[in-house]
Amino acid sequence: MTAHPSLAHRVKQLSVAQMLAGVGNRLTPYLYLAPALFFIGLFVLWPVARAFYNSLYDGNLLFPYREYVGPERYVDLLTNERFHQILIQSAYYLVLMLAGAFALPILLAIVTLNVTEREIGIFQSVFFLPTVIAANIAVSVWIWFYNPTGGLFNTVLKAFGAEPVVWLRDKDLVIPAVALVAIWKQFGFHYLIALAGLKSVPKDLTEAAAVDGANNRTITRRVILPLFGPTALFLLVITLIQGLEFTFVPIEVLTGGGPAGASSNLIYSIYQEGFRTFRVGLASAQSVVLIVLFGGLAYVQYRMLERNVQYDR
Amino acid sequence: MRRPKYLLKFAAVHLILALCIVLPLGTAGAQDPVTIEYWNINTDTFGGPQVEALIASFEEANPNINVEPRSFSEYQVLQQTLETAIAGGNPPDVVQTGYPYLNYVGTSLPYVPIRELVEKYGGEEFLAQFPQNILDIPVVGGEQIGMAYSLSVPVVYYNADLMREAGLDPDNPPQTIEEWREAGEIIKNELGIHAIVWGYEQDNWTTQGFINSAGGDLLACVDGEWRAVFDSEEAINGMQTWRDLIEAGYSLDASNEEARQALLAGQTVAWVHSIAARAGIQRDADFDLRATVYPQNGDNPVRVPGGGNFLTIYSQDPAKQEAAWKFMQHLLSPEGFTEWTIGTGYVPLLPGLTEDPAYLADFVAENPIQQVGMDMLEKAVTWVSFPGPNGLAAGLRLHEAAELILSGQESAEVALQDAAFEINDLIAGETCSG
Repeated sequence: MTAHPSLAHRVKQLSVAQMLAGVGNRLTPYLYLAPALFFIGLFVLWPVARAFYNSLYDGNLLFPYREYVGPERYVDLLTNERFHQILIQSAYYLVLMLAGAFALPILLAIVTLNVTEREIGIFQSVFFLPTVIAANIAVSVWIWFYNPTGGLFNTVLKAFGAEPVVWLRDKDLVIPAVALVAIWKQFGFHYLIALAGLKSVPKDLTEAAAVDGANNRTITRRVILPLFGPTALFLLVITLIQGLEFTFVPIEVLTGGGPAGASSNLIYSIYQEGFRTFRVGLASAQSVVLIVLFGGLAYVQYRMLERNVQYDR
Repeated sequence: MRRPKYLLKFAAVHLILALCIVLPLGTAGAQDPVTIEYWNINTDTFGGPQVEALIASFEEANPNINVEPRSFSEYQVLQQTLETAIAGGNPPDVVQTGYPYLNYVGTSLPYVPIRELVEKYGGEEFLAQFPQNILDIPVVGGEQIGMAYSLSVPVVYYNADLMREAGLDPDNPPQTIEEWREAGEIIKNELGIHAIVWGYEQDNWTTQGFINSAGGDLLACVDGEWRAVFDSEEAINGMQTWRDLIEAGYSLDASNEEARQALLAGQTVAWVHSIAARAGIQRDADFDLRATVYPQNGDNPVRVPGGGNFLTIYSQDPAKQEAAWKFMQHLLSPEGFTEWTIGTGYVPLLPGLTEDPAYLADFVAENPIQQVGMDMLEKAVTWVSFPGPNGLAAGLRLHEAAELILSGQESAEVALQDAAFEINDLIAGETCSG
């Protein structure tokens, strides 16, 4: 017994149509994604590929492929003591940025969560002011603060009978001094985000907890902070990923990476090699290392923190 | 059959008519105004008004040429923007470049050599006005890559009021390091401030002055290759002298801006800086400002790097090239140098201008600070530009060594030896003659 020919034909036709529909269904998301993928490819993936390619050659901006160096570039870079120092300093900057531009704004947001609307307005204005001032101008103000002879900080120290400090030329003080400026500039923005995140926690939940007998501390720890997770994650990610970027202008304006490279970090070093000494190959190799390090960091962050973040409210 | 012939004639007549219309237009096009860009580091407070005045007088004399100035805060920023512009196929026409970039420009950028400009557009008479040593300043690998424009030397600016207050004679300021050391002790005890401050930057101008004036050198030609030789005993002594002055409290580890502020705020009696800043300091100082010569270190002759910049042309378009060459000649004319020297402090490079009453004689006679700069000229040596594509990185390493020494983190001996070792690696294979 064979199937009726016309029926078999119809089944075949149907399966082809279904197959085409299936392919269409599978392609549809990619079509929607295509514009975004195109721009990501053009502005992210292609430059990364070019950076890697450039890193294999010696040259400047005009003649980037003057001499082939090859993978040895990475061996030299990763075994270079100066580069190790740059990595250590980058980590130091990140630790300070995490303390000053992540933990501190959240802490202050928690402390000021229950103050009156009028008072919170004052806090927001005062803290947000540095964020809206152009970076160069804002940082220039700090040149005066740190001035070794007539600067604000040394004048205060002198008033207390202490010896003046050469803030920006002491290798032990220079990174905290530069990071302080970056934190001051970024603090207000992070504070506002943290405050908005905390305020968005539904009041009925905190009120219900209070009715159940929870005190303020317990409510903060058990109700508010878990629901604040996505905001905290966002702040953590931008502080870690952009922390070194935030320090770029202060380094450039205040120290130029000195003394003897003691205030430089990975991003500033890339700039210095690429646009000051015009060694594009070396700068590109450092960029590739930066991408790998921060790509890995971002991945680990998401994997570890996503589990502990509560999105549903 | 006659129709095509008629059409052919008709077309030929129209073609001739069209050519009659188009050809004069083409000729008119060649006379169209040319716009050139002049990149410089002359801000409003440092030669900017003089640049505007020089452009105005040039445009008046050359109505078909329009010059658009673009000012940058410092050579580094100008240089990186220049590379980007050249890479983008849109280079500026005339560019001021600091001497530390001389070798880099000569080996890495597509400049138009002076030889080529003279061959194409003339200018032998213009060049003949300059002494050969001035023409030789911007020569790299035997090619003159531009024209020396600004030349400056360091002088010691000092606050005569403070010197008097400390019990010192401002009419007889210290002339040697030893005398400044003695004055430093008095100033420290009497006023509680610094005596003399050298500001320093990544260009190594101040560092080279200390090393050269202690009898040392930065580079030497050894067996046909350039070698860093600033790890010599003389160079180490020079840098250690500087550090000792800071450690004793007579001087300060400071940038140029910090040093300038210290002088203007009365936190130091003297600041060693370029004569090119003369006009700006005179404008800002509200005290009896004077200047004296760079201090001698021991028995060594004073040798200080000649600072400033040279002009280079990058235009590829012939009309722009010619206009740029004309503009460069205007900047380097007696009138151009007169405006430039009065407005800034740079030393004019054409001989005789400072003795000529038509130009700078009266100005120099009435301006003793400028005269100190003129007197220092004979002490000027070439500002070292490290050779090769790693030359700028080499310069940065020397600056870092100076930072380590002056902040007291390392001894002059260790820091200079380490830096010389690194720099010799960076400039290995860079050939020289002599």
